[in-house]
Amino acid sequence: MERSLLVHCLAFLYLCIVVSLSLSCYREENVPRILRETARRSFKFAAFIGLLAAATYGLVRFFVDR
Amino acid sequence: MRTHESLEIPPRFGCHLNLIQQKPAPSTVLLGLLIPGTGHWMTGRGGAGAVWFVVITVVSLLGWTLVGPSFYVTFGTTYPFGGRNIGIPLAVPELANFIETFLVYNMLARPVPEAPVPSGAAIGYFLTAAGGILNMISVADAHFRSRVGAQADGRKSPAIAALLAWLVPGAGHYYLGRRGKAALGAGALLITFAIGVFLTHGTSPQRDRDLYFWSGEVLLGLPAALANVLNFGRRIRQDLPLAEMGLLFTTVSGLLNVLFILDAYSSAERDAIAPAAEPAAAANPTTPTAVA
Repeated sequence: MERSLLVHCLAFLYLCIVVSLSLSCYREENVPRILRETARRSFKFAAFIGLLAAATYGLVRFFVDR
Repeated sequence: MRTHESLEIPPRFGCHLNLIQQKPAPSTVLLGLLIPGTGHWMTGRGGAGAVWFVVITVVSLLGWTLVGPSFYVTFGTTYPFGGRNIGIPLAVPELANFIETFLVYNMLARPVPEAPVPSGAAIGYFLTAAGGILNMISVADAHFRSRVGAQADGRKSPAIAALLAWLVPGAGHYYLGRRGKAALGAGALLITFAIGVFLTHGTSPQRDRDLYFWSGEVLLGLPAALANVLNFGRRIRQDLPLAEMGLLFTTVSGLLNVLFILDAYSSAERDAIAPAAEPAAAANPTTPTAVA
């Protein structure tokens, strides 16, 4: 895998975790619960965006690059 | 008969509406956003309003003095509209202090096309932004006081919690005794900001160069100001392949701090109102409390 792509993917995953952590912290007092929520939300968030990116990439390759 | 006081409101949706004594006053928000301190004055707290007015005005004027005509150049020359500049709507967050910003902007609106950015501009821009943010906090405080009256006097202030949360990520929650959440917030946001500064090789967003990114970054408070001061005038002498990602990181860290500011404020607000029910609960341990 190209190094730049790997760096961007890692940065994206990191941002998913930070955004999810901040959203989980909002109006939730229980810190262990925040961490569980963060794991769940960041996984779903990253999976959703990843699927969206893969679908977009596939469509572009299929309709534009062929 | 089921009265309003007997309704149980889940704490996470918060606000303990059954304990709020007075109707909210929207005019405190509208007037306060125009002129600092008038929200408190409307609620009969003229002294507090005068203090807010003086503090916000002094901070803003000090900032504009340090920035000088470059404030107008930054916002005015790029967006001409019918012969007049409309750059002032981009002066975020200063616009939360509308009248003062409008007056100063027009006072500085002279044709100074080559106005250099002075060396104190990094601190100056932070102070002008601080004026707007302080006014938002003062408006929220005035609205809170108008709702609860003297009930919250002597308790930890939501305004101070919000101010601390803006200045240092996590400090607002630390002030409220929520150490775990303070550590989480400070760690997540400061690490993200540090990564952003690292990826841009220390050239964190400067207002005259990255206007929109800077407006998000400044919401991180003192760490952003410190980075701006240390990196002011730093020239980019090499290709930075991850610079845009760095800008994104620094801006996202500031924007996410808004969540922590709001959370610290609402937590302090709940704390300031909720303890009024505690003495009765302590006297009668069988009485169920509203807060789980």
